[in-house]
Amino acid sequence: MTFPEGQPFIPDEKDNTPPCQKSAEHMEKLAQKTENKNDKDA
Amino acid sequence: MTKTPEIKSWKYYQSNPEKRPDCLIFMLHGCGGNADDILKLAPQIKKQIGNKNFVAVAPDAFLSSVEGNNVYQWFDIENNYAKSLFSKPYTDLSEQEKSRFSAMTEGENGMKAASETLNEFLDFCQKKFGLKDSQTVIFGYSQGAMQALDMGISRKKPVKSIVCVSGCLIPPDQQAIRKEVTKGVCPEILMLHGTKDNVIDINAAEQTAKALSGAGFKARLVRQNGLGHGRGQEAALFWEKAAYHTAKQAAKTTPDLIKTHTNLRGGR
Repeated sequence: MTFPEGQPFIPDEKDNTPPCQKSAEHMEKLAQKTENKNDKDA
Repeated sequence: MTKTPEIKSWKYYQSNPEKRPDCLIFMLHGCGGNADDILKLAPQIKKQIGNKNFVAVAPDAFLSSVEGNNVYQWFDIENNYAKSLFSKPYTDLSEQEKSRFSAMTEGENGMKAASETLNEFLDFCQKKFGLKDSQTVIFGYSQGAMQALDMGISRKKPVKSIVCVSGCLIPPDQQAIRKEVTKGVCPEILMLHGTKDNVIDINAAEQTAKALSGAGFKARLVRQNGLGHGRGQEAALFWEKAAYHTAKQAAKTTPDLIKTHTNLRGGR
């Protein structure tokens, strides 16, 4: 198996957003969606 | 022919680019995120780790996410996720519910196939940075924590430790452990989980910790009282704790001890 060259990660010092906020929001939306679906099905 | 998941892009962060790293932190992002998202934690780990030099490596996941461009998922959780899968005891789930877990783990886009590619990629990274399994911590958040657990416990040679933040085994049951544990030759597993997590219920983490301990792993679950899935107002505290615990695990890594002639003869 071959792998591409990695790129260095340069932190943006002006960005104070904590890690993984997009991902947490996405999963919360998904959880809300399945909860609403269950309410509808019940 | 079965298609193997491919790493298309990855990034790395060195705590001190002037020095050779003595620890590798292999980081897996959550669903709907990417390598940049998770590597934001690396500078926070640097503040907590003391004198240890580390390199943090994060690949982008294999499958696109419905969230848009440049965000990914490791396996198809988006079409198979249901909140109830994680809040109920595994034994109480219906066959239909259990089949959602199989849809996540099996096949060419499943979690098991992803683990094989990720373990080969980890070998590649260790070689590139001159580090060994005993100097490696696998870290994952949310879906990345599920993937981190699976790749870490199925890996041929154990890494030093696995840090699993807001994740669990898929399914959260002993059957997810497919490699026998040799006592004393397995990674240490640290799980951090919010007691108010409304995405992956803490029930799933408790079942996972029990299954791992039952199989012989040294697994510890740290319940984060009052915390959820790490977003919004709680995020700063949530990630500060994640950085602290990961730094502590990374600080324990050591190169394998070289056996001296005296040691081999059983001397002191």
